[in-house]
Amino acid sequence: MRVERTDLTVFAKDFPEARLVLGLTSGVSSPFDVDAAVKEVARSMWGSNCHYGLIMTPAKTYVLRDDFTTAGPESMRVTDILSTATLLSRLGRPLSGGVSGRDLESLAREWLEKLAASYETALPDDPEVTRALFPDIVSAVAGGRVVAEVPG
Amino acid sequence: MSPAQVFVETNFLFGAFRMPSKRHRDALTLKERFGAGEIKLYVPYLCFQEARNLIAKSLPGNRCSDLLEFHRFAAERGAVSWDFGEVKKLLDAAAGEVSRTKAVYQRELADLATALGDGILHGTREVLDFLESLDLDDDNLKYNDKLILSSVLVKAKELKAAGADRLFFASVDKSDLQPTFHRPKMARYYNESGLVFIPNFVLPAPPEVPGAG
Repeated sequence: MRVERTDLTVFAKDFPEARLVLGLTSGVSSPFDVDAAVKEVARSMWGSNCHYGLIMTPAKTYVLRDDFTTAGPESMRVTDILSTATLLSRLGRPLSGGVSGRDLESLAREWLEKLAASYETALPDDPEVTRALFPDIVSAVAGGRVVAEVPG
Repeated sequence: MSPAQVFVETNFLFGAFRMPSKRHRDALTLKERFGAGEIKLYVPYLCFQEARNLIAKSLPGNRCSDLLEFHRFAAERGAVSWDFGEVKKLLDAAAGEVSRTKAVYQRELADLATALGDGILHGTREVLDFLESLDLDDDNLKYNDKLILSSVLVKAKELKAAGADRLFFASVDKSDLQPTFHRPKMARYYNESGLVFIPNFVLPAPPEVPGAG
């Protein structure tokens, strides 16, 4: 099954080097859908030699990391699951139920740009979020450019 | 069916010829497909110059010094539980990758340029005239990106007129070059050239031929 997804990628400031892939899946509703989204984002990370990924749904955000234990997309593993509402809380616009895909993409992009500019203004004061993203993911995206992959 | 004609630019060259451990795997796959004759590649000449500069700039100057400093710090405190001899082998190998890349990347780029043959797109008068007349929806594109886009569109149009189908422009970090609903003028140029933008280096599967297989 293919989960409808759009991607945002954070590239290094001065190089075409992917630092983080964020897959937005507003339609995810079952563990099966999550597995499909994880496989797609992991493949994308492997193909671009990128070591960090996020899958954002309206309810939860899954954090993927390359554990470098194998040569293939299977080395990209979900290491943390966060509340999307908590993660995006510093944007000051509470996520209401039934947020549309377009709204979620807009919020995710705004949050990623904030995170790339200054993690202190983007990350909530939440121990789970800090443990999940700090310091490696925060460092990877620092100063980066957020580019949207528009579906063809 | 004729092979896909794929236009790529600086980010492909950077992804395929930078330090080996950091290369873009999908770019490498595309390069291998070109080497096997499965696709035809086109690259604007300007992109080779850009890629040379980017690769040189991306080579780390102090790849292992942080870790060596940490080792000394930990050793001074008697907190070392690793075999420094083994660790040093890893660090030396990692530093060696930088030196080897510096020694070979220009030659490797030149080898690809030779293999491309007429797949190198030069800034001909036709391209520069096209660039001069280029009328886009917004004016955010840098001059080099406009020149790259013009080179690609002019060649794609020529290929389309000669009967080619499956024309793709693959680029990973230049969404400004992507025709979208909000960029009708750019979309029209792509349509006229029969060109499809791909926001990565993975080509869509060819359409199935009825009765084949």
